[in-house]
Amino acid sequence: MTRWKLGIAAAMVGVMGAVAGCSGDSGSSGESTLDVWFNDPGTELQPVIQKVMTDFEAKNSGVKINLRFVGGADTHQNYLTAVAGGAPPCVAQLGNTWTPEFASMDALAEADLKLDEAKQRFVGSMVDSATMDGKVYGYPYNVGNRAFVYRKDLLEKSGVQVPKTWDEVAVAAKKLNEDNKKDGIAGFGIMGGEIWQYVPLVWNWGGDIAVKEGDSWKATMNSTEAKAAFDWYAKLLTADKLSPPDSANWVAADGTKAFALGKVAMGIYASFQLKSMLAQSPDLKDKVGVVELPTGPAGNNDTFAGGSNLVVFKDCKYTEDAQALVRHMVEPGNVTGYTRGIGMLPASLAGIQEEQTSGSFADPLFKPFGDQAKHTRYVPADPSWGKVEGSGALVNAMQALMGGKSDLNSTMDKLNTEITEAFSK
Amino acid sequence: MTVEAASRRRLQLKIIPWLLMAPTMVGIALVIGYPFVRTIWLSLHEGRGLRTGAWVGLDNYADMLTDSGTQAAFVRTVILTAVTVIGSMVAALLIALVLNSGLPGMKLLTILVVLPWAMPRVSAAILWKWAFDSQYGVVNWLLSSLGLDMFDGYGWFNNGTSALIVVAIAIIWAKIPFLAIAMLAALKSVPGDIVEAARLDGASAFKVLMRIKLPVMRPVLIVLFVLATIQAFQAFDHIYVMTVPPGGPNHSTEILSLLTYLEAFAFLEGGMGSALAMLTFAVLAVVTALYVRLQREEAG
Repeated sequence: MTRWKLGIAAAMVGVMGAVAGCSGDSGSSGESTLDVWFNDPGTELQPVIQKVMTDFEAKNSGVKINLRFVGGADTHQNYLTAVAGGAPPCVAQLGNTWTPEFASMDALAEADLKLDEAKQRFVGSMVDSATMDGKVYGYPYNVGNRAFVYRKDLLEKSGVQVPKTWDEVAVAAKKLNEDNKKDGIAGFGIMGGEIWQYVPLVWNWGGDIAVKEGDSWKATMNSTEAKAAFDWYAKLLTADKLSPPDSANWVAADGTKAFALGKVAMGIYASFQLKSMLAQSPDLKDKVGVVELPTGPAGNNDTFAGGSNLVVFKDCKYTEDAQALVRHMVEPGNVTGYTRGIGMLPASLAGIQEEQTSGSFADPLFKPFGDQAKHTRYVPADPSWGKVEGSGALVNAMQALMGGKSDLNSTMDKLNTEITEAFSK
Repeated sequence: MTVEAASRRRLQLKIIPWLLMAPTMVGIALVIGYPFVRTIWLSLHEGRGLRTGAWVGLDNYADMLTDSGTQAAFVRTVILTAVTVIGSMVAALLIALVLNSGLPGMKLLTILVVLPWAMPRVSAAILWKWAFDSQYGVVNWLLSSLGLDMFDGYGWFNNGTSALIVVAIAIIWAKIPFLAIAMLAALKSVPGDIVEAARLDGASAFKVLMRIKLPVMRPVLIVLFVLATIQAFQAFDHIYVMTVPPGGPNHSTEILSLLTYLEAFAFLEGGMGSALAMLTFAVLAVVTALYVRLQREEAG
């Protein structure tokens, strides 16, 4: 046989093989491959997630799961690129502040979950994060929120009661600051670079970050309540000097480190931060107390709920299998292996109940986080909220006030304009 | 050879070089040409995430040039570039002179000088941030131990000026190894007999440096200066890692590269991000043109 004839024969074999391969992939034999993107929880927890997937594969013989752990600063960009390129994963663990953005891009499939049912089964603020125009676009998966963490020993020594309102916090912190000055212990852990420390105070003071007018959101950070809340927090540093001056730049890692080193008497910390502090300084366990957050002048102690939702992307070819996988993943028994590892709670009310009774949140140090989870809110569900966060506008406003040179009214007006502009684009 | 064959041969001689260069040129057009044209195109539009929005003409450029934040960032970028380039060049020259001194132990010292080069810039930036931490940083501890009490608990990142000083130190530290090694190589090319003759004539070490060594090193110094300027103008990672929020406090350390990033990836305004990238490109194009001209003068 001449060389060209051999070539044609080989090509034909190749084409036939490819056709045979295509017929297998098309799903006609009932097989499907689900791409799943999950936030990288670290090497210790990766097998936990992998097992949840393997269990699903075992129960559903026609389904193969292709699990990919994603993470890093460009994760958001990865999702945007995947959606724009028409090749997103089938199932993804999407941060709750990103969910409205992708829902508004029409990239997500509606979840097989009605709003009423969702509100009965999951933490309300997490349902809000997955809801757009009355439709639910994801199953709330895990939730993390902050509570009030304090040093029992220091409060006792100074004869200070655990504060129940933010005004009492300021008074107690001043006393603790004075009593512990020689040891360099700050009365209150201020974190100027961490918006979740002070933005929820706007709710406690009776204000809102933004309100919905018709179809769009309008920022209300120039309201009297928002101004008073930001002013109160900034003055903890400028007038009361309750933390080192550098704390205007502190992010959660700095505040957590300071508390772990025994240099902070009270502060607002998330459950996973407390877990990390206790791991760094195990001797703190007997000295620390945790309660729900103090209330503000409006009488509420609502804080922000962080967490993630499990979503199915619209471009997924196997929507039914993907939805079945999501239902499998949110079963409390399949969530807690992961949430215990990272120090957060399942987003389902049944899961929280289970964790508070017999799980990792049954410990008196962690139980208040579960109680506080029921007093959480979500940021304005505008797809542009990510821009507001990413731009650093809220941090810049707080730092301007903490710098002591900027006027409260003009700073908050500027912030309000920046948020409004972000929403309008 | 006929006339026809000769003209065909001439044509072949003209075409063949182009054919040989074609693959490379296609490659360059794909990886440099297309993104460049696309950036210009995008800068003339509204940006919406990954999509190109409506045509806005030169509006993005007008907004950019009249925005006080961008103007301040431009000035900051120029100052930071000047400080880090001059600082690192001078420090590297001094180190290169020491390494070239022929004293014992210089080979070991050369290895030590190169070490920072091997360190990822982001890791180094985090370490510098820790070193300048107000409470637990080694710098404040050292300065206050020396009797400078004002540095006890001093917040370096509390205002733009002191934060930029720390960032500049970190950038200079990262730049020194490459510059020092390149300058050391240039110093080695200075003819020893000329230096010897000058010394015999009574020239001081400073005079030898200014009149003999630096003039001989001039071509290398020009290349290093231009490269360092281009790198410094694009500095990004140090500011991004060391300041909170990136470019803070309260916008006081924002530089052009960071603004470009924020516009493109935080605000998802690809149009404005592209316009800012074009501004950086224009400035660096001028620097490069200057470099080419200086090189021609050297050759001439």
